[in-house]
Amino acid sequence: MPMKQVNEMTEVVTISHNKYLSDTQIQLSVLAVFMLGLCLRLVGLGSIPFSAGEAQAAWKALQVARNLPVETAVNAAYQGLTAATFTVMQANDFWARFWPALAGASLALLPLIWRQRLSPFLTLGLALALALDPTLFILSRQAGSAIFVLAGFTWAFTFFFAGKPIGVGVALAVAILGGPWAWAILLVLLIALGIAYLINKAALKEFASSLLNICPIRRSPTKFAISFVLTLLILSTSFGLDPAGLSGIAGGFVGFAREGSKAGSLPAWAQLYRWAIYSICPLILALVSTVHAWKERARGKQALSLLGLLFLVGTILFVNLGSGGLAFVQIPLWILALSEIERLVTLKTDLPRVSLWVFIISLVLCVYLSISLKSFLNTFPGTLAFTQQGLAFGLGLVLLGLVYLFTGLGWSFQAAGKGTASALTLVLLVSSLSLTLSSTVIKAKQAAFIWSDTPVLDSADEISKVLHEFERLNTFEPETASVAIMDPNIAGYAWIFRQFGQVNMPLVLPESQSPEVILSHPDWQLKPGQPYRGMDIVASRQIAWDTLTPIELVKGVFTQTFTTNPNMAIFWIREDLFTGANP
Amino acid sequence: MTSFIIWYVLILILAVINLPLTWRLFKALPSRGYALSRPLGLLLWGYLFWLLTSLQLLHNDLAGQLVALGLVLVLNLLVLRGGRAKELWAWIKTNRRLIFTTEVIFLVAFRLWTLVRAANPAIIGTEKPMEMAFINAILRSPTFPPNDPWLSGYAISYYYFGYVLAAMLIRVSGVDAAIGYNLMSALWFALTAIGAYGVLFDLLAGNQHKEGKIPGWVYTASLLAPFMLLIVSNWHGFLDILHSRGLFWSQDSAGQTVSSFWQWINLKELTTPPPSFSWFPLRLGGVQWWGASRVVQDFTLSGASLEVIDEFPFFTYLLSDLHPHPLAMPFVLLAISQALNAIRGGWQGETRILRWTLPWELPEMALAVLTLGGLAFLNTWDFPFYLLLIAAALVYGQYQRLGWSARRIGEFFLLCFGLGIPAILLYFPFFLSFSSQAGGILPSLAFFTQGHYFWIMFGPLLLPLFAGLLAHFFTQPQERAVKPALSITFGLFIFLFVFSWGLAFIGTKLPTLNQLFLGLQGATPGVNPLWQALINRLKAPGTWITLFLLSFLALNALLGKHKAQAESPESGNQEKPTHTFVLFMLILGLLLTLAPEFVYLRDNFGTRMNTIFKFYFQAWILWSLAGSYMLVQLIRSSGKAKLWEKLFPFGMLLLGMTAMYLGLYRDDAVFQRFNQNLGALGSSPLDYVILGIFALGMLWALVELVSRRWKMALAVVCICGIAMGLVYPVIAMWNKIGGIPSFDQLTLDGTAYYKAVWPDQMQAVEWLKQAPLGVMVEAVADTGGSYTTYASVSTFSGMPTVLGWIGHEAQWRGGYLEMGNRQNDIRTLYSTHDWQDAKAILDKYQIRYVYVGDLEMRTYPLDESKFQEHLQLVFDSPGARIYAYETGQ
Repeated sequence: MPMKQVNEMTEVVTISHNKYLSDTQIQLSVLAVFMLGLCLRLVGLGSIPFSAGEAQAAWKALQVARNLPVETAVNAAYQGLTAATFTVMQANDFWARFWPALAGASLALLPLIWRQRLSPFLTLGLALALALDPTLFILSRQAGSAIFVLAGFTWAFTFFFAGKPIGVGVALAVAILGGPWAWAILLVLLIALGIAYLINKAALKEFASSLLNICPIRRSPTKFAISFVLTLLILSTSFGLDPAGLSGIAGGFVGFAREGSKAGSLPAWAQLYRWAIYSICPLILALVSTVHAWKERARGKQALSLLGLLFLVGTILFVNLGSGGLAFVQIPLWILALSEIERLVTLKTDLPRVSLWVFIISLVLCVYLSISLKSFLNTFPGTLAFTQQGLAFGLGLVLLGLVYLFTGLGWSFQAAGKGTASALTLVLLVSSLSLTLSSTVIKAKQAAFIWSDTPVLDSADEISKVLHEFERLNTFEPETASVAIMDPNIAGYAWIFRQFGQVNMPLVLPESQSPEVILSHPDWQLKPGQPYRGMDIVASRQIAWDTLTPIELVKGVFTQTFTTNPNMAIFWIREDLFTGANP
Repeated sequence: MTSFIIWYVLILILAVINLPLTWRLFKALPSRGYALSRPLGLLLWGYLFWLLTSLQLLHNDLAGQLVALGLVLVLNLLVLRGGRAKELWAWIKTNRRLIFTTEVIFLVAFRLWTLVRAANPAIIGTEKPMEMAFINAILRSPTFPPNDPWLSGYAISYYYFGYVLAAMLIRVSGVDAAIGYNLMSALWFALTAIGAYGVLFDLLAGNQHKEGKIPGWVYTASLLAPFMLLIVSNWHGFLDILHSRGLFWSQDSAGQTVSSFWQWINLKELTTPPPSFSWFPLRLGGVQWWGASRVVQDFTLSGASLEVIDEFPFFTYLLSDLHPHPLAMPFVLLAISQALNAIRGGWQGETRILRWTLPWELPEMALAVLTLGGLAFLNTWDFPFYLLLIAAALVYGQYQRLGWSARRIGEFFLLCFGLGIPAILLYFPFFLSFSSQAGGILPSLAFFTQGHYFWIMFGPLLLPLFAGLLAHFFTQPQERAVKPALSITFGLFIFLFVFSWGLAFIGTKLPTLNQLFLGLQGATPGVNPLWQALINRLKAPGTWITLFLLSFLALNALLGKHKAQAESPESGNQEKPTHTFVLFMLILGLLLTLAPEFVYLRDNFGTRMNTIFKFYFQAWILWSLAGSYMLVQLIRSSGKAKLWEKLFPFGMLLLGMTAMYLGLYRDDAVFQRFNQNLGALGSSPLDYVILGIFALGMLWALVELVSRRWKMALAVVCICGIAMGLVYPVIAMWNKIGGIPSFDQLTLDGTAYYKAVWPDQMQAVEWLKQAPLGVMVEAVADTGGSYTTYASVSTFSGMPTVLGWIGHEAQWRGGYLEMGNRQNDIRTLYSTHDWQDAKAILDKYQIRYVYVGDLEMRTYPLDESKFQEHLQLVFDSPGARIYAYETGQ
């Protein structure tokens, strides 16, 4: 079987197979990558601080598991699966995030089905990318995130081309129940189709008819309908735990309509910068790949680049829906990036040994630059003096340019390019991986802050410690105690108090009851004679996006420090629970 | 304007979504039910949402509604399978004119009535607050059955489906409920307009349909149905201006202004002379537009006058109470269209149920069951009427196919049960929570409609009906069936008489019923009530005679066709199903007006008030459609229009518009000149303009008579009668909205008035709308509070209050049992100085919000200090405060 030629690399799907790896080996490798992605996702899953949005999603699922009335779920897939899990397993932070993690990890299995159309390199590369991409990785470790939408749609797309109507039905139902982003993506695609229709009606018709020809739903509409409807019913009703949860089928749409018309808390630029930093590796490579694709008129890659752009525009359009939309950009981005890497790997240079040297020199330079960059950013913007680090950074740049120039002039431009690009790629891949791994660090608060669309509940640990202290001294039994949360803005704390007998959010304190614990806004006042002791806590924190500059954001990602805005609250404990031994 | 556009687009989307199903189900109708796509879509959507929410399978929220809408969409997509999409598209392309006309009528009607509502939008007076309260309570209820807004802890006990539909549209459109209330009225007006247009279109096109080509005149002539149904009114307005102009008044020897005519006609507010002579009614101390709904009066055997409601659609929409009877109108037209579809063979097919094979298709039967059940839930009174119509249409279809036999009668009763029982079962969750105030049938011994009242009420519709039937009787001698028609009519009257008087006789003899029955009839002790009632009737037999003649002529036309067909099947005298269907509608209307002459439904009032109200309203719907058809046929069959036939109506219209301009234009100088104390008839130019209209009408009729064009002469009489029925819409509209308001005065916000007069209260309402759901308490009027502004905080916030309008609660529940001691408890709560007493009441009713406002301060000796001391003040403004309380249970 001939190896793919550089000039022929116009279509991702036309790459022929090589014989270095057997099909079984590829399958096993992808499965190993999936397991790796899943295991990494599960590391410290219960230790990352919850954001208010996550906590509320988990709390609702718990309410369903406890057979209590809840409002219509915005992300019914999450609620359904998690509620069912809570009935079987313990309701804790780990299980609250388990299903998103699994859904995110499942993306790594996608190349397994596409492997007949992809080269082994792309198959394995894509599996690794989808398993370890930092953006996808972090989003799939959040309760109630848009990962179900992404997983649902991509699996539905995959099953569509694989001719599996049941799979399409199940995956599409999961996507629809995944939350507001499902409808945003559908709307974006609809607009794109409309534009495509206006630009080139004939091509679109041709495309549509080719899709219709392979459409598995046409062949087996009943199978599709049954699987789709059953999945909708099962998930939306949380496996029958909440029959009225059927409303959740349209919950995502309602969320889309409501949130889409609101002013968002996170500016679009911040989302884009954040994403660009975390996706620097595939972004650069995909850009190069896109330039090649448009120069070489490679239709497949052109379409992929347009799709990526479309999702990016969608993210900006529906910025109020949160970060979920960015996950959609990652798949086309990585396919493009990987095809560019493959291009580098398979590029035949006239002087292979020279390119090896160039690679080594470039790699050293890149590592040096990375270190310099961190130093440079650390001093910025305190003083703008021409510091040692700045000098080193500048010199490094000059050196890189000189090496590039010399290798290009003295030996071969192609060889130099390959070497440099390969080194750069490697560094970028490593940096991506480092971002992924850094988010698995136990108590990785910064990652939680930067990717949370709602404030992060900051004092959960502190509160838990205090309560455990009371519990240890036997003055207090959570199972029989009650909590009153008097401020709707910190309603997410209900999840933190899930072990309590009663967690209420009353308008005023009940006349006949005195809850053991009260969580209130700082302005809330106890009535005279009410026996409580209170302490100020930082209920939640959120990055000060409104004052953050792009440079500070870049710096923050590398240094893992951000300026945050605290939301204060008062944590009240009933007087009679205190003993001499209490804090 | 934005709200209007949102609603328009929303309902357009619904029409498009539901078109495939409508098109499929009404396959025998020339219009394929296009005009019904909206109401059918609403019915399906509403039903699915209500049922699934009642079964706790959906939440009562936007997502639940969208899921139900999704199901409607899926149902329609299923209809399009098997190449039907292409068929539908081809139908759309060939029926663009119908689609365009229907859409224009809908848009114009919707916009027109939106403007009318915007000119008088206040949700105040009559029963508007009650309806607003229902809608807001439904919006706030987490599930169904919805909370009763005025009796906390209980579900609504009323036919509330219409309010569910209103709440759905309000929620999905995102407009404020007080704006949605007014849009709802306008939307229903427009839905009724296109529904009526569709029925007449199908009747006329059904007769003319040849090789798929529908003549152009059908599109125009069909406009008569919405016009007759929704605009044409009773003759009260016409009499009102005659009265106001001083006609038939004279001075007696004592110098008093008297009139034997006005005394004889005995219409409320018209028995005394007008304060000044004008063409525009200016009398003091009355609401001019109201009188037309109180034309009919009942008198007890002792001669006391009793109020009877005789609403007709224009009045109803002008009043704009979102009562069940207007809310059911589009669905009544849907049921009528289904019956028409059935009689035209649209149901033909086969359905196997167990071991029986029915000669009708299942989807059509299912739709009928859904619609009939929906009518029971919308306006329970309508259910049996349209069940009878559909059953009759189906049996007629059987007769057409298989011929007449006694089996047809059996089929009729089987159909009534076969469609009626599933219809009830389909809406069973509603009937579980509904306790009706209806308490059986009472003989209408003393109460009957005097002939002149009947003609004032139904004159504009009776004229075309009689004209059409008389023309048929005299021009089709071969299609006469005098003997059977007379026999059945006599039989019907005798049966009703014997039944009614028999019941009355039993009533007078049973000791348990005697007092109640005679008390209701106002019997004089010592006088035989049966005999006295009979004598009273014979003294005023106008309605009996009218209905007898109508019955005879209608049965003659119906049976005559059958006879002619039976005698010579090949003669071409084939019965046209549409013509028969018109006679069915006429006869059903006749039964609805005839039955209350003998019996009525017993309710809390004990009189015929509600029976006449509900029966006459349906008779108006049926007769306006039948009358429109007959008038069009009369004019069409009288030959080609001559020049004068075009000139006369044009002249009448021109003069009418001039009169309206002169009479109503409120520029002071003109108005005073033409309307203030005009003096004797003939002293004002306006007199001549108005008399000119009558003169033209008479001249026209005369010309037709001289030309021996009898049908056209009859048609002219009908047109004059209709013209008399158009006086009311002009003067009533002017009176109700107070002339033409400037554009900046227009608003659809039904609370604008409240916000201006009670701003603090409305701010409190806004606070409550955002607050968690809970029981609230506010003042209850000592007199019951009906029709007042009591309970308006719960009305507009949707929070269930402990007790609202007492009288209405009693009506809905058929008694005071559920209310218990609430009225006194509320008084104690507000006035007691003892916190423990107050706390006990707060706990007893699970009260979460205590409202203290203007009415609370005026109604009770208020002691607010206990609330201030023990409860938390959560809303505070100079004129209103809300205290929150948690029972902790």
